[in-house]
Amino acid sequence: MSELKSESKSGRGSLIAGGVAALLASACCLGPLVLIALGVSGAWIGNLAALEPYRPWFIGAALVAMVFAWRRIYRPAQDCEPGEVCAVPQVRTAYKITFWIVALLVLIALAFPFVLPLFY
Amino acid sequence: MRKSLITAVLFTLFSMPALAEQKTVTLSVPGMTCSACPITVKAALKRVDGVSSVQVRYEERDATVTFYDDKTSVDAITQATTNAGYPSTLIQSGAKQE
Repeated sequence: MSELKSESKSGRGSLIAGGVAALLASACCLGPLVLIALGVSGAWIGNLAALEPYRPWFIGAALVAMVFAWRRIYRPAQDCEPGEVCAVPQVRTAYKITFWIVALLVLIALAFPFVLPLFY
Repeated sequence: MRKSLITAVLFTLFSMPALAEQKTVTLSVPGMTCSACPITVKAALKRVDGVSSVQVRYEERDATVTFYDDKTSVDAITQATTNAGYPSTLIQSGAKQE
């Protein structure tokens, strides 16, 4: 119980959930493009398209997770109790950087359908 | 002398493309349903050795490919799109160009 509590306080669980959801949201459509660019090919890539109908759900889950992570990481420092993640400056910075990397993944998942048509 | 040299150069220039014959085909790519798909299909086709130009039309779900038929084949090209996750079939085989 105490382990669960400390994880939910750090926001790490939310960040991981947000990142995974963002990757799954991009996988159907951006996945093949990335794989081809890397030189990976195979008929199995076609299976990624099966994720497309679930894209809105993954995006929704990612946004919810990011809201939770935001609240954990950007809570004002005076609210921190000793020993919590937000009380240690270095850990705070690391979590903030991770937060913005995951936020970028979510943004890519959200924005690529509107940006990519410009490159046809 | 000079005139014959120019004639020879011009003759070489104009007869060269005839050696390597280009063929244009149109492929149906029904799986191309997302906005990133046409870019993926185009990238996959351009990686095939012998393909000289690719035109992908998202709304029509098709791709027009021009290639040197001594270097690659329709089979190799449809295989390339299949291996990128988008199986395709030949719908139209255009006339050979010089």
